[in-house]
Amino acid sequence: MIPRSPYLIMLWWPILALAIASTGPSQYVLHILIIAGIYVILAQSLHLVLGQLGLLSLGIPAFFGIGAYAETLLSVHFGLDSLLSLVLVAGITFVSGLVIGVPSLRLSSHSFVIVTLSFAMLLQVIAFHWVDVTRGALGFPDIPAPSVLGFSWTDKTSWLIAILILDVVTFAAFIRIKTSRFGRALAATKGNEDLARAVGFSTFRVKLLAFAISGTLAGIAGTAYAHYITFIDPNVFGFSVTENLLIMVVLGGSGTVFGPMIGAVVFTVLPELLRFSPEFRSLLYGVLLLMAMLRFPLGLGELTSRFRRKK
Amino acid sequence: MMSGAILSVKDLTKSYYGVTAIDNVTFNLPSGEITGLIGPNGSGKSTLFDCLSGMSEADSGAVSLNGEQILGKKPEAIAQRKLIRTFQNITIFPDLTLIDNMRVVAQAHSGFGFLREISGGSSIRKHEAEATTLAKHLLEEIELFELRQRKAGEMSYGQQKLLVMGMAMMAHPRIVLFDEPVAGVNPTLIEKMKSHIVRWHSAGVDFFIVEHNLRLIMDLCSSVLMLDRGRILTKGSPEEIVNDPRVIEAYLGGEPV
Repeated sequence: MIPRSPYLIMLWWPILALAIASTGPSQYVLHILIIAGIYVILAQSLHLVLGQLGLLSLGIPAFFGIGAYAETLLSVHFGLDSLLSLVLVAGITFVSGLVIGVPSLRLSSHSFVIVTLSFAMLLQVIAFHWVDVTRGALGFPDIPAPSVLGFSWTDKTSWLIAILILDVVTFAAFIRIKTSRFGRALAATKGNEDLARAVGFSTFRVKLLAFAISGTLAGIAGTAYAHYITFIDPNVFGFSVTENLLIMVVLGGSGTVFGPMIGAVVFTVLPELLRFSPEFRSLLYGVLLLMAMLRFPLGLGELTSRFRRKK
Repeated sequence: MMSGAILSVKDLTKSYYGVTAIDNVTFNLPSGEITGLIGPNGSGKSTLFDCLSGMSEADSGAVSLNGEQILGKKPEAIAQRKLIRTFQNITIFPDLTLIDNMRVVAQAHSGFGFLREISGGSSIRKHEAEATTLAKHLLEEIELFELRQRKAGEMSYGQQKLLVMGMAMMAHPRIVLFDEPVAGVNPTLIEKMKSHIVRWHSAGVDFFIVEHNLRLIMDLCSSVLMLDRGRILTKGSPEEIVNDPRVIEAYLGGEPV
C-alpha cells in the first residue's frame, strides 16, 4: 500500500546530526542537537493527534511531565534499569492517555482544546503542592544518569546518539501507525466522523487510542529530558512546550509525514542562530515565523512534496 | 420470500426544540422487499433515517431490527448489526482513494481491535485481501474500477453518488437505508443505479429508499410509505400511492410545478 521509503527518508535527521557531531562541535551545539532530538519525539506526539485527527491537544506537556516525574521517581527510589523504566513509563503514560482521553474526547473539538490544557495545568498544580512525592517547587536535582544494561553515560555525544535512537524508533512507530489499517481508520475519522460512525467505526475508540499513543510518545520524551537535564520541577508541565510544539507542527506542516520532524529541528535551531543579535532576537524570530507562515501556509513539509512532484 | 419484518418501528417520536419532526410513527418493513419513503421537504424523512441509524436520539418509541431492539444504540453499533444508511448530502472520505473508501468499510466490520490493526499480521492481511477482492468486484459493477487509485474527492458528483452505494455494499448489509440516492443524477446513470439496486436486492439485501424521483420509487419498490409533517399519511403499493388524492395534495399541492 505504501512504499518503504518513508522509513529511509526519515534518516536525514540522524545522519545530519551525526555528521555535525563528527566535526567535533562545541558542547553548546551538541546540546542544541539533543534538544532538537527531544522535540522531534514531542512533535510526533502532537502530529499524531493534530495532523492525523485534526484534534488540537494542548495536553502534551501533561504527558511530558508525567513521563519526566515517573521516570525520576522510578530511578531515584528504585534505581531501575533505564530501558525497563522506559517501558514502565510508556505504560504509565499510555494509561494516563486513556484516563485523560475518556472525558476529553467526549467533548466537542473546541472544549477538547480547553480540557486538555486544563489537565496540564492541573497536573502542574499537583506537582507544586504534593510536596511529599514531588518535592514541590524545589524539584528534583541530580537525577541520576541513565543506565541501560549496566552501560551508563553523561557525555553529550552519547546523549545525542541515545536521543537519535529514540527519534528513529518513535518515528518508525509513527509511520507504522500511519500506514497500518488503523492509520486508514484515523484518516476516515478525520475526513468525516459521522460517516465513519455510520459505516461502523467507533470513532471514539479510534481517537482514544491515538490520544493514548500520543501521550506515550510525549512521556518517552519526558523520560529522556529528565535524565538529560538532571533536574525537573513543576514547570515541565508548562505551556511553553505546547507553544513551541505548535510552531513546529503547524509551520512544519501537519498535513505531511515529515513536516513536524523538519519543524522540530528548524524551530529549535533557528532561535539559537538568532543569538548573534540579542536585542532583536525575539523580533527577528517573530518576523521569520510570519514569513514562513505566509510563504508556506501548509508548512515546510510542503517543500518535500513539491520536490517529489518535480521528480 | 421471508415472512416477518426486517425493521419494525413503533410509536417513534422525535422533536427538536418543541417542533415535532417525527410524530408517533409506526410501521413494519417486510423482510425481502424494497420499500420507498416519500414526502415533501421537511416531512421528517431524513430525521426518521437519523433515528433509525442512531445518528440522532429519538424521544420515545421502539425500533427493532430483525427482532432486536436498536433504539438508543450508537450509530456504529447499529451499523455492526448490518443496518447501513447513506446520507442525503454526499458523504465519502475525500482524501482516501476509491478503493480505500471501499476497503475501510469492510475494515470497520472486520472485528479486529485497533492495536491488532497496527501490529498487522497474517489474519489482517488475509482480511485486507478479501476486502480488496470484494471492493474490486463492486467497483467493476459500478464502473469505477479504472479510477480505483484516484482520490474520492476528485470524482464527479455522479461518481461519488455511485461510490456511496458501493461503500454501503462493502458492509455486507442486511438492509440499506438510501437517502435520495439519485438526486441530481443524470437519467442514464439513474437507470444504471436502479439496475444495481435490483441486482443487490436479488442477492438478499433489503432497501428502504427516500427519493423524490417517483419514477424510481414506482419501478423499484413493492410498497411505499408517505410521510407528511412527521406522520405516516398513507402506505400502499406504488400505484395506490400515486393515485391517492392525499398524496397528490400533500406532495404536489404545495409546490410550484
